[in-house]
Amino acid sequence: MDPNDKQKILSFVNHLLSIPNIKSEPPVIREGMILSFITKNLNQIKETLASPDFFPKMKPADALKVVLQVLKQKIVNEVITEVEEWLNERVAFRLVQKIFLNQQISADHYKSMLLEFMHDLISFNDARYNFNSVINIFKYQVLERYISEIFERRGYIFNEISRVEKTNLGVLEYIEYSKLVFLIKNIVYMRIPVTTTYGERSININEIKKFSVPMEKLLNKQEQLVKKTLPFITQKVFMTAVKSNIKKEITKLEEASSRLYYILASRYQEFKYQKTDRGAETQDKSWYNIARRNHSFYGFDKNMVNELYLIAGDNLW
Amino acid sequence: MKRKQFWENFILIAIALVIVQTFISELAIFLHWNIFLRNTLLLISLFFDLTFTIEFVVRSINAGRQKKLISYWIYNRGWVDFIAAVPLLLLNSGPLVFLLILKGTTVSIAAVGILNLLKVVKAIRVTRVLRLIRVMKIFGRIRNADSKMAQHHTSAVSTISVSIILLVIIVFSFTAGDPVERSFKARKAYYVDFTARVLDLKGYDKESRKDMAGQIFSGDKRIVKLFYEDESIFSRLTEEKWAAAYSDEDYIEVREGGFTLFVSIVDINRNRALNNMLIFIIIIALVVGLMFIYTRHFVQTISDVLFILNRGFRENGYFLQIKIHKEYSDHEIFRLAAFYNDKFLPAKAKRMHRNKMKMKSPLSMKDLFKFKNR
Repeated sequence: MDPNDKQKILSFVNHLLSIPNIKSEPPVIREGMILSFITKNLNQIKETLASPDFFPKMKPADALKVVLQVLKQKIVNEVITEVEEWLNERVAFRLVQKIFLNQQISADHYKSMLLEFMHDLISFNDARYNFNSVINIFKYQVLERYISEIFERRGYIFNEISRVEKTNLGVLEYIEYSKLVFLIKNIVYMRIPVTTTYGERSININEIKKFSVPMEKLLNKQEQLVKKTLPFITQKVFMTAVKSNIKKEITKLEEASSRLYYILASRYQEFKYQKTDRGAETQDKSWYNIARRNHSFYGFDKNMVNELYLIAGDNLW
Repeated sequence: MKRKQFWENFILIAIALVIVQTFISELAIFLHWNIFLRNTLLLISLFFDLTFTIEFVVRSINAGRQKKLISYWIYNRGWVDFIAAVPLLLLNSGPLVFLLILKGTTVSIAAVGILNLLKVVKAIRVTRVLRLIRVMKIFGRIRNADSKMAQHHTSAVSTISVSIILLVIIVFSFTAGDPVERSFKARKAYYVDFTARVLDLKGYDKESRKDMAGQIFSGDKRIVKLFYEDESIFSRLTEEKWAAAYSDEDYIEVREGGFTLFVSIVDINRNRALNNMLIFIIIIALVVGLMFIYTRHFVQTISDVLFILNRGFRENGYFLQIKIHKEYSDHEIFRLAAFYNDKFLPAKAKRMHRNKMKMKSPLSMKDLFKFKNR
């Protein structure tokens, strides 16, 4: 490719990412918006890219392909830099070692294995678009704040986690455990080659209905894939991560953590900090109030949302 | 535009100054400052009344030109501008300054006119309380809240409260009589009666009565000067001090049986000034209280709620719920807020969730085309 075109494509991608209407959105959301816009206006965009003001020397399909590649690379780099920062500063591997007592893995080894895995995970589009919740949860220290409160209150959620699910973890260990789950929860969006009635297809959880693939079949393959990079991940951790992407109805009674993570992930996927207007409730309290009214529609555990609503209200979150 | 801004600022400063001037005028009477200072304050008062009358006339003409005269008079408090200027100029500072000029120049020619004018001015003395409505002029311009609705309601409540206080004072004064005027009359009657009793003493000749009156009246500190026919019997002040400290407003003359008593009414004026200062402070405190306490209350219980409702109804991505004060939860507005929080927002969220895919993209082809212009 002509180096001039390469440079021009880079500045075109930068232009797309800095369009005023989407500029304030988080990177992964911006990327999602751009992709959905391109998908909806594909023909018109191809024509535009072929015009003299854009990339007349390239075939439109090729130009678009490169644009999407550059866009993806830019976002992946941004996200990975952030993940690396969390792994260095936000995850206490000393406590992770306590969670997986029978594994003889050093903190650095945990870190490098996770980073490698995250790199693979983030390169999948759906995994990346759904990663905004994780970014926000780390950014706003949601787990630290909410889990500490949950353990302090010893209410419904605590009871479900410690007595029904029997996690047997202290508050600090549970926070680190939750972080690990959040880091890998988008595994369900990794595309895995599976034999379907239409032949061999790379699919993720979004497409199991389309290709009539049983969920267990896909999950088994995904679990094997995770174990290759993250051998310390137990089946319990894996299943908690997987089920934190699905509605309450599909979880088992003892999968309280998944139900909690599903609520938190839903809350923070589209979270955008905004100043609370005078006379209004805080963002979290407002969101949980809607969530508890619509709990069956969203598939949330009603009692959990109620408790999170109270926590947000009491702490002015 | 710049000239208009200059005049607006000038009027704003004038309003601030007139509030101070109004208070100082009363203070001058209370502390019985000398005539020069009081006359200076009177002239300043005329200047302000004239300025505000001109302001009112100009605003009315401008509003009339834009066919907004009624709107200015009724909704933009033109009537406050009117009351705070025109009656004061015509009934208070104007006649008083006119009187001052006449006295200083053609006393003898205008003596009869002065007396008539003085009577009229005294009869409508109470109109000076209208100055206090100027408080509304200045506070009406201060924007304490972002909400136009809160500003409007606070200012309506303050204007009504202040106007009613002043109206009651004026009506009371015209119907039940001005208590200050009554005090003047009572004092005059007392001294007429007292002098008559002194004169009624039998067995005393003219000289003895003069001596006797001198002795009796000199013990009364309210009597500043005493004359028998044109002869001064006693005076507590030198002529210079008398001229500097006592104006027509500060004494009453009692003539009886050849005696002329100059009785001080400074104490009565002082009480009146004290009352006026009290009313002034009450009005300021009332307006400030309404402005800060009531506005805050109004904003918290009405306009903030409406602000959030408005955003929630209009903006797709707005999901903040309204804070409901438990103690007001039975108020209509908070019942509406509860409905908004518990029914409308969840329904809106559900609808948005369902229509997510159908939602219009924030991007457009125009955004793409802008690239070529870079």
